[in-house]
Amino acid sequence: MLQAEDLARTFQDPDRGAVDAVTGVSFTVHRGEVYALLGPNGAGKTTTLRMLATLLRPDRGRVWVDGIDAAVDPLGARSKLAYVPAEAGLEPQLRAGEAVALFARIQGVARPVERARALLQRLGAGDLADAPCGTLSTGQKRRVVLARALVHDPPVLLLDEPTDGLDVPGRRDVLGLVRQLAAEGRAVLLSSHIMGEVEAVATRAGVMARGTLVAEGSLEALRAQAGVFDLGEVFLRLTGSPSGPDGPGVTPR
Amino acid sequence: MSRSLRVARPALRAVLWGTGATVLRLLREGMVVRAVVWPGLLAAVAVVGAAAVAGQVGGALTEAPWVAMSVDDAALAGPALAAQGLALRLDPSPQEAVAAGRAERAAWREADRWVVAARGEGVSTLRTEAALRELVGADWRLEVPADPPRAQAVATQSGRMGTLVAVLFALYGVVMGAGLAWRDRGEGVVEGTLVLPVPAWTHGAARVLGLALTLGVGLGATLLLLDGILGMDRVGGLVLHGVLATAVASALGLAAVGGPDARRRGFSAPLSRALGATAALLGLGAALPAVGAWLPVASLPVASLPVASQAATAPLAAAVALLLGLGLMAGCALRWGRHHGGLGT
Repeated sequence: MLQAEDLARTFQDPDRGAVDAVTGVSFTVHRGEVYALLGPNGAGKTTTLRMLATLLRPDRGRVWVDGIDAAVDPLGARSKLAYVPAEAGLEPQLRAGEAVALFARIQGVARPVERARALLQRLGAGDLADAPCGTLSTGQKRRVVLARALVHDPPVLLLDEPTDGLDVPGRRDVLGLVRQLAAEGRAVLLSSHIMGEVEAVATRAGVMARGTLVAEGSLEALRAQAGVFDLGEVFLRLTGSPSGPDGPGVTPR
Repeated sequence: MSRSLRVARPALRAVLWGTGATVLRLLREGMVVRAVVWPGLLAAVAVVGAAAVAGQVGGALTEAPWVAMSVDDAALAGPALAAQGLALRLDPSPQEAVAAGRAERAAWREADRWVVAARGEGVSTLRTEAALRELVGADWRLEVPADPPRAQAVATQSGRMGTLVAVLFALYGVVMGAGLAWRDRGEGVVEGTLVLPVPAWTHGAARVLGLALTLGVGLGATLLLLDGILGMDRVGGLVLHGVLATAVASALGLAAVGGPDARRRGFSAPLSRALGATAALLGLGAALPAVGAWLPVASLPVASLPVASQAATAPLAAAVALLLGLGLMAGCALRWGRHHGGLGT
């Protein structure tokens, strides 16, 4: 459903020179699966996601989205995926329903207003349809952004830290939605550095450190590979991080 | 369906709906609406107020032009001078009156001829001379056209005011284009929309067109309002070149600030560059109308020049400026897309 093969990307930094953000990352996310991309800040998760979403041209490697080669037909690949960046914002002057309907109209979705309202309703934001986006809380904005990304019913979902900035009920709702979307047959790839939410939703995980995929497999396989049960400890051992995935204050489940 | 058609239809939809969304966003910003509405209202009030003050107060304070003349000479030349709109002020020694600065102009008989003396030049002196030439039946006469009617004078002034309003809208365009690009990037709007399966330039084009529509319609309505209230010289040309300048300036502001390294470059420096480029074009048009007439933005000050000073190639120059302006707007939209876009651009 979603396949990355030997992805690599180097950035030119004015101070540090050439920085290898991602070097030779390969993995596959199957239909109905939630694949978690784990790694500390700066591991290359967002760069990988941006390459998968065709927003960043890889220096090397290929991406296939639902069988479409993203290098050959990037717009076709985009039509098969939804990408929700961590920093995704909404036009503050538009109402939530208008923001979602705008995406539906651009993508030629039939009955865009009804579609937008139905999606917002499904994401528990039905009462926000007429609210200006500039007045929404972080969690409410996240729901609207998710509704906007799902408006064309894509088979592949790329979620960059989808619970970032959400309170506990917001996280629970979003993770529940992720499970539900995968259960409907979508391939879901999410990046995170919060072990609790990875355990809650992920079928498989890939651990990134310094731009490379240092381990990959089911959570049980990763535990076995690291030789410890605690997923936070697994993370530390596999990435060689001096602190936990979410900093020293994290309490892994 | 061919691939080009598969790309073209969503791209067209993205430009159309994106333009509509940009207009909606701008109209919902109270600052934008106020900025668009106030110049027209202020200009109308200023011109009407100035005309009223000139008519009521200025008429009372302004002295009618007069000629110093002796009693005997005034009896001879009075009716001819009055016909030219000149008053008489009796002075026993008009020649001395001019020399001493008591009078701007004077006339007297010297043997069998008239003498006109004046300090400096002026149409009233010419009228004095014309009246006396008519009086004595001189070999050649001097024709001094009457002052234009008041409506024409007001139309000329409102035309100048309209040019200033159009310049103001062009500068608005730069600032609003830059502000839109900066806010959209800072608030993550750009990041959120780039993943749509349409080329990235369509998002830039939608912003350029939305700005051009909002400010262009605002400027057009303002100029037509002034024309309706006061009459305005060459209002058609002013609307065309004003709207073109505003649209192009908006695109310059958007493209200057909307680059991928916008955060590193900041807001003020790119905005200053775009404002500087716009001001330079406006200055070029004002200083070298023959060149400015062919260029967008620079054609704005040229549009307010009197018809008599326009070159014969003015229609062709306007067409070239329009095409160059549209090309520049397209270039800015493409630059915005290239800076923000991924593989699909």
